Amino acid sequence: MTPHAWRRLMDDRPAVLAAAVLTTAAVVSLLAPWLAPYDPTVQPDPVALRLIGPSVQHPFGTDPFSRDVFSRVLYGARVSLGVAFGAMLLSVSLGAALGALAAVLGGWVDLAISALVDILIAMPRLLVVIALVATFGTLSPWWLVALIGGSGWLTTARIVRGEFRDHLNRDYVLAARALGATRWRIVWQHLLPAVAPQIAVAAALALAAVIPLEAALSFVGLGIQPPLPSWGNILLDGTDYLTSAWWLVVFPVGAVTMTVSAALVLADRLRVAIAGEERAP
Amino acid sequence: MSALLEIRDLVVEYAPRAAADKLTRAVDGVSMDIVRGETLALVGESGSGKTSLGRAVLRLVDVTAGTVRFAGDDVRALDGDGLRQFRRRAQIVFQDPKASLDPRMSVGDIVREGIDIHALAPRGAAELRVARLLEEVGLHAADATRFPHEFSGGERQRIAIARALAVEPEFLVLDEAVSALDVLVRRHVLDLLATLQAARGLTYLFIAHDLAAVERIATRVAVMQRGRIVECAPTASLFGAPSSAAAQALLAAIPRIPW
Amino acid sequence: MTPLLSVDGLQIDVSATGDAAAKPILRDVTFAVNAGETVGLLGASGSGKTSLALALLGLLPPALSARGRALFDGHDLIAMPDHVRRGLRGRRLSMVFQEPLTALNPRLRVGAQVAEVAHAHGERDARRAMRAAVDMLDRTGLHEADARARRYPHELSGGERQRVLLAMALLLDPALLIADEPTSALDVTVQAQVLQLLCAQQRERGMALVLVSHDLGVIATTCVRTLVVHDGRVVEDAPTRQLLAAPEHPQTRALVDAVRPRRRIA
Repeated sequence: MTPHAWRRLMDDRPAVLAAAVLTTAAVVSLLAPWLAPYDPTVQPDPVALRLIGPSVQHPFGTDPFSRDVFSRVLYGARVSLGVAFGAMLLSVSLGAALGALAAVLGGWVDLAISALVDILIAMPRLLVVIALVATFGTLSPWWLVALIGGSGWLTTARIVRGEFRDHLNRDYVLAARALGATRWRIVWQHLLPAVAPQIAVAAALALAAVIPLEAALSFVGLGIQPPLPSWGNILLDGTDYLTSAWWLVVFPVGAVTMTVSAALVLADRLRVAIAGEERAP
Repeated sequence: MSALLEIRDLVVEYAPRAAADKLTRAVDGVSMDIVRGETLALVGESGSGKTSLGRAVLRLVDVTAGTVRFAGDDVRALDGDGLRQFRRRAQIVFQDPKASLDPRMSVGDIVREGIDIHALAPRGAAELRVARLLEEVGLHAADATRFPHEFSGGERQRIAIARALAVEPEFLVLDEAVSALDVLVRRHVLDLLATLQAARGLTYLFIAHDLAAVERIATRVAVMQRGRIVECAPTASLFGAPSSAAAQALLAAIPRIPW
Repeated sequence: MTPLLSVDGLQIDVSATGDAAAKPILRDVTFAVNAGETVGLLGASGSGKTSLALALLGLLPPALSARGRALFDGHDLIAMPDHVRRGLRGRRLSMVFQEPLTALNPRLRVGAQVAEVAHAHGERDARRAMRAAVDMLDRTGLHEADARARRYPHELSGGERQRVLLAMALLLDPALLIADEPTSALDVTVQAQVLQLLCAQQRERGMALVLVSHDLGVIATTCVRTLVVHDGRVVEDAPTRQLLAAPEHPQTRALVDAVRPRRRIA
């Protein structure tokens, strides 16, 4: 996409709104220690403050351990979004690097990477991650980033390999070769900028996939371990009370839904911008 | 007259796409010389192999057999520094003005790329060179900050020519460089190419399927058919008395205008 | 004799911008085409000639709007409601464009696409439509027409695809064919064949032809009369030979010069 196209994207309201939602969520999560009214792990009064519905002092209510849910959601954002962004960056970088290598080097490197992708892509990601977690035991958030990120590079690799191969045959790349450009230069100067929009789409989609994945893992006790809050384990703590204490479900699920929707809208608007660019730059 | 380019028994084969397909021989044993300062036109129908020949000469496609000597050096044997030097001396302008310029780069960056690759000038001096090149091809220095899509087909070809000239080549392959242009624009670009040739002492390999375009600019014409050269003659002789069937067919295809 | 097509004061504007003072793409266009006549629309890129052709066919992009009249068969092509236009297109009034690859559906076999023209205008019998399609393809000089009819567009060469488009345009024997740069994407030898085909079909059917091109060579070999379009206006309207011998407008002179050879050609 040309600079003109990026500027046009900034006029696209849904895209801007979605980006704003994600940025706000990220900023809020970073500022959690200052924004949260209570400490998310402290249990002030185990009896009197148990399971109170939303009120002025507790806008999101309290959980079975009488902890303020609002504070837990804010701190949970730090962990959930932190893991999600980390995993997304890892999977997109890994995918882009491998896809680029396969396309540019060709030969057996391409064969090996493509074969690997074709085999791994058949495996359902959730089960793979669960199996890995089961093997390596209870995880720190960093481990979780590595496992989730390390399992998600396949689609990005395919996209990048495909786009690179397409552009490698185009006249302007041939012109660069005729000028004497090295493969490295062609990749950085011509191919990566060409593929950047598609990588951005892949990144947004990766984010939309990873946020619920971490929440699901934490909900079944295999992700973020309590007392460290995450959107998934807030639900976990309230499993026995889910039908009566609706605030334990609505707020964390709402947070997940909001961020995932924003990521999906962003991915979609980017796709539209890319298609529009191809038709009339 | 020294031959700038000597081609002997050149063969270019393409691997089949499917296992069942045969190997395609795009260039089937071509030998010819290009003399310094001349414009040799290479004409033929689509599929005659002329584009493959043009690209093989520049080592942009793999050569299966034969030799290409540029100013005495064996092009196929070049590597590293030698290859980089060759890339400065021999350049190419492609057919499709919409596809040959990177749409994400500004015109200035596009023209400057060769200068940067060969470290011909530091940043400031390079930008000055770019400005002068743009003016030389009939555009404005201020166009350097604009993007390819803002220009017409003819203007984009001028940008492509400026890009090729930036490394100060001696030899230019014009691969159907005017075929995609309007007749009026075609005329202007051909005039530009003629002016540049005189000013810089360039040698041209002008690939085309249209003899009418060739007529204005070529000193000699080589006719290609199915990978082979079937006739090679000075332009006037070819147009006046073509001997090969291929040349005759091409001449017959030129619209007979009832003057 | 009433002309087959009578264009009166045609104007094409860019309707999208709010800028009322924006220069029109085409203005004051008035000319007529008689039955069986061959007329060339000659102009450089951006002269407005393609917009003219699109306006007559009702195919202007939404950003452009047309005013004025273009009478054909007693109907005004500009103000015509869509359903009437659909009845006319293909049957009385046909078109061929420059880029055959984009004009053809890549997922349908070419024979089916030609037959589709018959179906769209009422032919119910599938076999009859397909036979007419193959027959038409054969008449356009497509070798082994019944085998080729079963191929997909990407399996054919540029010249073959253009013959398919011609077959689609001529199937129902229209009174007027508008061809916009029909040979620009083709090799010069293939171009010669397609132009020959166009001329032959035009003569055989007594069909009127409007040929839009930037190349006077193409127009001079097919059209008896030529209109020169420059900067949104028709600047000259004369028999082609007259234009070649004594061009009046400077743009015409430039276009004539562009195709004048420097030396004699065998």
